[in-house]
Amino acid sequence: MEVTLEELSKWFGQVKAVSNLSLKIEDGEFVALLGPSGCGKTTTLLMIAGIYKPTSGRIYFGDRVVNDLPPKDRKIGMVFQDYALYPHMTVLQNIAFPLKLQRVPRKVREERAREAAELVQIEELLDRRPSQLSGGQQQRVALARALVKEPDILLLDEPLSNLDAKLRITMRAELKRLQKELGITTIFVTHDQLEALTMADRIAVLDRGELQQFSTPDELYNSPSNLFVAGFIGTPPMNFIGASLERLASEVFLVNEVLRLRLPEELARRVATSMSASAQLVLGIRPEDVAIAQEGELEGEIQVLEPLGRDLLVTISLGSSGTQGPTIKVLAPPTLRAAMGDKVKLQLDMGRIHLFDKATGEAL
Amino acid sequence: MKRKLLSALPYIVLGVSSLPFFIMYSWLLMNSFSERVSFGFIPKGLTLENWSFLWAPIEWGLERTTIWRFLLNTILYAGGIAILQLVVCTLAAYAISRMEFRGKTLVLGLQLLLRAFPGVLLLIGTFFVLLYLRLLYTIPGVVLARMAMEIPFGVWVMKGFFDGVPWSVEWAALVDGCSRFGAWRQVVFPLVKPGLLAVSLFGFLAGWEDFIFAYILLPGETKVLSVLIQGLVATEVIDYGYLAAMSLFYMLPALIFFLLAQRALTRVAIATVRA
Amino acid sequence: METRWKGAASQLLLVLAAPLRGLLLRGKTRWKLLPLLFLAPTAVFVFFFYLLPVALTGLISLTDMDMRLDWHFIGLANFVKAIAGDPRVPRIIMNTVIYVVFALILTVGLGLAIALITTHIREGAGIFFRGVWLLPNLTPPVVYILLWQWFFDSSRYGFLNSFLGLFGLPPKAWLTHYALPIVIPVNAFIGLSFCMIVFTSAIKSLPRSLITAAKVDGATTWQVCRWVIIPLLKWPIAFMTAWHLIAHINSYVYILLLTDGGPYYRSEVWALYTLHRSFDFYEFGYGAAMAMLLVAVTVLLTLGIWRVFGLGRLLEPSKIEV
Repeated sequence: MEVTLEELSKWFGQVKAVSNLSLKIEDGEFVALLGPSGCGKTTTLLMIAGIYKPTSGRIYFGDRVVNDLPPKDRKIGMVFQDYALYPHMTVLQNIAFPLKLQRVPRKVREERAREAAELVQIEELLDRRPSQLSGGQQQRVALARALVKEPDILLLDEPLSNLDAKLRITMRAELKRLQKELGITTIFVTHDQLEALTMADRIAVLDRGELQQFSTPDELYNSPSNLFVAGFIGTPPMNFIGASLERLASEVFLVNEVLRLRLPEELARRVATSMSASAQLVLGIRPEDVAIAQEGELEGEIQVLEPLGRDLLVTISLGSSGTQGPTIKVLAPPTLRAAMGDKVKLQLDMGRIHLFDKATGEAL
Repeated sequence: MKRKLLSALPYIVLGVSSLPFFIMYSWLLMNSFSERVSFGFIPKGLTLENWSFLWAPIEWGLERTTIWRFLLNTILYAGGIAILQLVVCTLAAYAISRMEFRGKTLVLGLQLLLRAFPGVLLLIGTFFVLLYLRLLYTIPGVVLARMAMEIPFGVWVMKGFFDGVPWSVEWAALVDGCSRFGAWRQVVFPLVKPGLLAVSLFGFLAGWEDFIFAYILLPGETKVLSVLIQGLVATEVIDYGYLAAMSLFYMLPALIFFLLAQRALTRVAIATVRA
Repeated sequence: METRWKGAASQLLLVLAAPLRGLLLRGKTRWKLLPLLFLAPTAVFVFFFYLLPVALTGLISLTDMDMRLDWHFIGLANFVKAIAGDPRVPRIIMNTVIYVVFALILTVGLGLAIALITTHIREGAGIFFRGVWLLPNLTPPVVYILLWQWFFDSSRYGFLNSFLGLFGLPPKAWLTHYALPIVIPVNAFIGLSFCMIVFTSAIKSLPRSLITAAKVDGATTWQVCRWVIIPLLKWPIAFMTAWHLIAHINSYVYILLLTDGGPYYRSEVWALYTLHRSFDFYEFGYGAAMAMLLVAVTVLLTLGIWRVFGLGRLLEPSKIEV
């Protein structure tokens, strides 16, 4: 079942929660709505579920406009952040509840509930009450309940945020596998970009109710379309350095008080055409695309060294001695021999730098 | 030595100040079963004679009636209040807790304000309201009047229970296939049952223990237990044994209802603190 | 009697139902009106038993209504009489002030003391004593007063007198000679239970670390109470004081039951006098005026306390979604 959002907006009184959101989600896709808290992602999910009514815009399931369709007629399954299990029913009754509402006869619905329970591996818990279950178990019950009625669309609201770290990693793989096996169109909401990157086929990044970018994880990571996406995706986050353009003959330089970078031809050409001479830009480069080397375009002084096991996160203050430059973080191999206060040279992978217009935040 | 005395001090202070209560309540217990009691807890001669009101008619001035008549009146009175309060307060509390409407903050503030209305003023005014509604000196009239006094409390309690049902559970019910009303019936209602029990018990208790409304607004033949007991107290020579027994008879159900209501209240406190 | 009630009630229902039925049939409006439907019964009760009584009493206070229930408009004459014309009033005002002040001190002060003490001794004992002090609230008022009457009974069978009899002292008519001083604690204990519960839960919810820190700093238990706990209980104390100030000014039931204001107005407070004048002497107009004066004082006090303690901060806005 495809889901299409067309210029969806939602106001709560004077507050605009979702602003002109348009998305098309393909059948069987696993899509993430990603963004910081308050960006409108849960509100969007609840509109898709039918619990909130859009202020303007349309929601389509396939070809059908569903704006006025009540939740119970939408053939959706939903898992809430706090799982929302019915405390006065057993696990089996919880899972079977949607079928009970469809007046499926008792034997059949218990059968199907058991099947759903097997799917998420909680068969032994069927007679317990929700209060007797752990968080991870409750989540799986909620999942079984959502799946038992074989919905067209599965909605998940921050499904993993209440689990402990280890369980989260396990469940990430579980959910992804399950989704591929069942082939249900799935939309899930999260504020954890790592979660989104690992699980989703495509991610819609939202900020303050507005869509920033809707692409595959790869594209979001390697070709972010604006400053927000670039800074939000990736851990440790991208480094940002403000600079201005300088043209000298046929070459274009990126200049600020501590650096003077010559832009490669391709990039230079793009920038030259779209930016005026005195434009302010932001240079973005990921920590793993900067290397500490013998020679390099930049130099700086090591401020902090943080061993991460697999890598070494080095905080470097740019500029030769005397000048206070911007600080960037660099991922170095753990074998690096360096100490605080060392002066180092940095080499940038010029093929992987990103440029943004400081005024609009858009990528160039 | 001094330390021992010092650490015993709070117990001594508490014990001494609580002494009247110990004495009074043990007297109540003892006196109802004995002919005479010295100093409140030394019974002399155990007897069930004081409980004669259970089987013999009561002399009340010129009337002779049985305790069962008073019991019935009291049950009707208290029961009516309980049922009415349940219905009215639950409806209002659900609206306040789960629905959107203009002037909601006004209604909330009003609840608080209503509790500040002076009792005697309302009593006098209610007397006249009932008079002009032609409900004065009737059980339904007093029930309505007394019940109204419990509305702020009842709404407050029920609202607390409704607030304790997470929105996500109601949403889950909607997504699972319930209509709005179905969600209420299948999910919200079962979860507030302890609240319903608590509110109806408190309502019953309010009616059972009430004296002043019954006294002022319901004179005549239809009397309740509280008025009966007070009437017997006001006689010249008080038969304390008899009165003690009757008081115990009157008081025990109230105690039981109170404990039941407390348990219902704490049950929800536990139920809403889920993992 | 039953049919008369049914008649009035069904009349009312028909009047209300007609427009409601019409509106209920339309889909979207039905949704908007549903909350109003749910609130309707409460609204009806509040109207008839809170608003109307106040209005009626206000009106009656301006008349000379008495037993015969016919009335003539006499303006503020009742109020003048209440303030200046009734020879008993000065005595009653003094009684009321004494009563309220001392009862308040007992209710809040002793309640606080008991809460403090019971939270510092063994848990089991604490619960036990708090339970004992809860007894006045669990007992129906009539029975509670009966117990006190026995305690202070003027014959030699009352507890106090038989206790005195042990020492050869003659029985005393306590309720006659000490009417007001007895009435004060008897009433105070009712509010005391409530205070005790509130203060106890407040004390228990204080972070233990504060008390530990104070003890590490060298404070004795008393000093911890005085300088740490009590200041932190500022809000509950203020709220309870305000609440019971209002409650005590308006209290009359227990006094009615115990001494009925006697002997001869020695324990009569304003609220009780209002009741007496209305229902014993049938001076409804005068009684209503006294009730209105009581309301005025109550409202003024409430507003004053609201301002002084900034109690508005206690009312949180509701966080309700769709």
